[in-house]
Amino acid sequence: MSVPVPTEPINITGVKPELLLRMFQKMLEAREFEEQLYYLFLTTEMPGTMHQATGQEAVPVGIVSALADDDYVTSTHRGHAHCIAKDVPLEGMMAEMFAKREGICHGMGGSMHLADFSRGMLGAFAIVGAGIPIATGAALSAKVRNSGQVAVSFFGDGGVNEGTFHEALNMAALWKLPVIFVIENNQYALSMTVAESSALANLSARACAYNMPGVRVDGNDVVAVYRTAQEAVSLARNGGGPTLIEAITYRIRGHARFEASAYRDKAEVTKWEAADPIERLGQALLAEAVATKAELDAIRQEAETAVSEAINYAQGCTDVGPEDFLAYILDETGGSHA
Amino acid sequence: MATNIIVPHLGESIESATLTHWYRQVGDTVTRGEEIADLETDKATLSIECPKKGSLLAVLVEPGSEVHIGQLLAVIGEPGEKWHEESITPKHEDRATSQIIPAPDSKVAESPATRRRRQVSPLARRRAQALGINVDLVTPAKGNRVKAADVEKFAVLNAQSVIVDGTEIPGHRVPISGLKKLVGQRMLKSVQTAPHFSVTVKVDARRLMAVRDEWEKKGQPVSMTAMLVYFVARSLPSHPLINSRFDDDHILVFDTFNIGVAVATTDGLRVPVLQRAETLRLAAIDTQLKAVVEKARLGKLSADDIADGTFTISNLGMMGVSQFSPILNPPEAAILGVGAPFACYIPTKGGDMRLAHIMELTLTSDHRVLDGADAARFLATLKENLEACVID
Amino acid sequence: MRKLNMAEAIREAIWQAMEADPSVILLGEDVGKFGGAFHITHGLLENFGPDRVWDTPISEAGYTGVGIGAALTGLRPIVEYQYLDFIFCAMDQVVNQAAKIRLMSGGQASVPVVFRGPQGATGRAAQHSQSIEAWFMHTPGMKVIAPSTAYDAKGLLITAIRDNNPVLFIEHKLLYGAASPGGGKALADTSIVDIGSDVPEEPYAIPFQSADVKREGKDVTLIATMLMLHRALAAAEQLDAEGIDVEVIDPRSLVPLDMDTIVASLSKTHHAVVISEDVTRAGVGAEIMARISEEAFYELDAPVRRLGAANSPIPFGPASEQNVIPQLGDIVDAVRRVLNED
Repeated sequence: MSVPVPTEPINITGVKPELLLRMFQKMLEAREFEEQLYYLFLTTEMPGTMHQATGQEAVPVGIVSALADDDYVTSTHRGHAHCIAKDVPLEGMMAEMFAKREGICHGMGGSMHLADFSRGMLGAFAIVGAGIPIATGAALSAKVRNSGQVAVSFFGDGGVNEGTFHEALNMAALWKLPVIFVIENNQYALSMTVAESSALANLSARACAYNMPGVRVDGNDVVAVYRTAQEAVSLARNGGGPTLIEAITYRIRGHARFEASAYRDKAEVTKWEAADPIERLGQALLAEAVATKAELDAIRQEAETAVSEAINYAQGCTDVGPEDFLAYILDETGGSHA
Repeated sequence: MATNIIVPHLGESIESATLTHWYRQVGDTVTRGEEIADLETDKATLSIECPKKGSLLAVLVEPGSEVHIGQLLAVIGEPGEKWHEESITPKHEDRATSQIIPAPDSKVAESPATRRRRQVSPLARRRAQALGINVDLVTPAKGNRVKAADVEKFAVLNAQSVIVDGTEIPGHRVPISGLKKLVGQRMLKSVQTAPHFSVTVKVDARRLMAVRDEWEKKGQPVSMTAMLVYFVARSLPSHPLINSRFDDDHILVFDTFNIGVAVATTDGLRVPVLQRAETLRLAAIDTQLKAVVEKARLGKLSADDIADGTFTISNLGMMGVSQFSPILNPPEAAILGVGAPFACYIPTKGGDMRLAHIMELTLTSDHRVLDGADAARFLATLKENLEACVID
Repeated sequence: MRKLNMAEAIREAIWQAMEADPSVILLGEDVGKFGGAFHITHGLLENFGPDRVWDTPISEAGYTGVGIGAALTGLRPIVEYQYLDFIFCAMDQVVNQAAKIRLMSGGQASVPVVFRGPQGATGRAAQHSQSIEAWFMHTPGMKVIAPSTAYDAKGLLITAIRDNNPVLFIEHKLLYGAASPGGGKALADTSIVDIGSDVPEEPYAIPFQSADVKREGKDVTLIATMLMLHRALAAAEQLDAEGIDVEVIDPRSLVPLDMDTIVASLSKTHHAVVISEDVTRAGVGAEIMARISEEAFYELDAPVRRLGAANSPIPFGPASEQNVIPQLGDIVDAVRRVLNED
């Protein structure tokens, strides 16, 4: 059973133009980040690896647009777009990709462990499912501290089958914690389709097992994702507890760099390329005269330039030294003195 | 700026491919993401995607050619832009293999300690060393493992008696200090390798002693040893073979005369060296000698102080010795032993007796380098210079 | 001063920490309403309320992750495992997440969480009897604490709660005291010299990496943890009658380990036996022996010996279980062997 490719125009009614343009810009930055890096990895020396989120940008951008700056996010190995949506500086992210001291994690984490605690980005977790209970814990902490913050856990269609998904959703609903669980269903967990790995292919339907709302949304429609997120955030902030959101999207590139995805039909990829979330938003913005083509092209150019400048910046940064890691193993700054 | 299109990584352990088809040609405008060529490996067909929008400025490889990773295939840029060929060789993606961390040296394939073999605990070994005991002589009280207590017991037992040829004679063991041990080893080696012979000459030290008194009255006292260094340094140049060392099938003859002087210290014998003594005046020799002897007595000689000697003087005269035959200071070919001047009367040419102060000088030589005649000739020169005692 | 058993001392440490610092919370199974399977946490829910004391479902991986998320965002959680054997359900969260987040984030975050629970063989068969220190000593980025007395337990737990790093705080069931299940059995174990100790009423912190010489001697050094410490003390008493003067050292913290005290002891006694209840192979004893070899080799008059559990899952039948775990007689024999190598 294949998922239908969404091609309907996006409905942008009621959303402020500034927000729409910001979402357009953020998705483009995420796209440029992935694509410019992709070519770099193919042809030059880049330490580590990367997992591209090309084609999936609408999900993090849509969800995070409904959050406040101090709300929490946890992410995965495919997490660049989550950081960009959370306004983590491109330079810091890129320097981290290049294993430089000026990276946001001082070159200690790399692509799969990007984090920016000053912006509530609690980290990308490379163990599938590991971030789900951790985001739940951040939500518990917000509740205990009565801070009004909300936590979002991003994970994929593969992550729903880790035990931690089940345990975390149960506790979140049991305790009515302000956490939102977002399944970025890009339809593949490396080579496994949803149908091949989940007995119930309708992933959002699992919500009923935990007595929480479950919603399915077109993950390539950034505005639809945004609207869904708004509801979930409002519910959480008002003490109504968690929501499970399943956003249907598609992984345009392979699982990781150099992964040729021979298990997929090329025609399927081409069909989903036609449902590109950035193009769909662009078309809606033009159709509703929110922006002109020139303005949209300018934003495209800005995003491209911002990323290539970030690459230049990163390449000029300082390499991690042999003893850098020693400072980060333990925290010996003193602890509390309760 | 022009962008090079190079052959990207093709997959695990694939080094080359065949370029089978170009989709575009020179002069075409291309967009990002567009497929512009096909590569075929034995595993799959891969497309080359265009990384940037622009004009295809150059196509550098014919269809059907074999290409390798990093090879330049095409160039994209502004129409009419100039470009130059640069090939970039990407490092293999698996950096771990290029940084081979040597396996830890865990191949300590120790054979399991056989129960029958004698073992010594680390502590026992340390104790034995501190006490100057050869731990191999210690018998363990139990089984075959020597422990610290066994070493202590051995030390006590041996302090009480020394067993010599089956009888017990009361005595005690004195540890041999590092320096003494070293000197002993050197002397043993010296005697074992170089054939020693000694030649003695009697010198009338009358003028030497008179000059020494003069200098003292002047307020510039100099030692007898300093004077000997001075005259030896001036006698050696006409007998260069004395100032040498045996070196397999050569004799190394030195051009400078670095005279070592044997000094007895509480630790043992040390030989500080006066470098290029032939260039030094008597006053300088005396000053340097005093300084270096003081250092020796304080145990503060540096490696430089004792290096590069070419000839040695050993003066036991100040201890009342009249004559002795020193052992060569290896690797030097000759050493001069000096005795104390002895007052006596000797017949003059005229048949009278006159007072003389006879000092016996003994040259020990390495017979691989020198023979009796060489030694005698040198000593004759030295005697003449000492008896004339002309100082400039 | 009043005497408390270890269970009471631990409870007091948690109570006082929660009173002093509102960011300290407690999570675990049956910790609230029930007061804890070993009665350690009784009264805490009533006093501090459900926002501070959380009864969790049976979801070790899940609630460990929840604890970590809370630690990343301003709280100082104490995460309890009903039996430390169950921490293995949460291995990824402890080892891959808690211990590594600080390094991976380049120091942006600390993870001030305490993982605690009871361990030790008490006739409950293989999955409720393990000693788990070595798994976590081997994990950089966290600390491992193993107290053997009530006094040490309170002071070390307070330090653990104040520490900004993940700390595994290990408790031995048989040392909890008469008030706890299994405690009665402990009293019947004649190898335990003393269960309770004088515990000051006010909060106090014992620093990590400070081993405690629990008995001074000059012939041989025993290095032992938790229950084994008490058996080592009993062995020392027995050997004393034979004229062997035994020094007994309690490391108290395994990571970080105080080697200075151990090396100083060896400079005096030159003989050592390391005793731990965990599996011998690649266990606590292996690490301590390796450190002794590196730092005090030339003090040794005999090879160091180690005692640990046999390389077997812990069997149910009492005679077999006893044979697997080091007993008083095993310690005495080991001392004799190390002194009289043959």
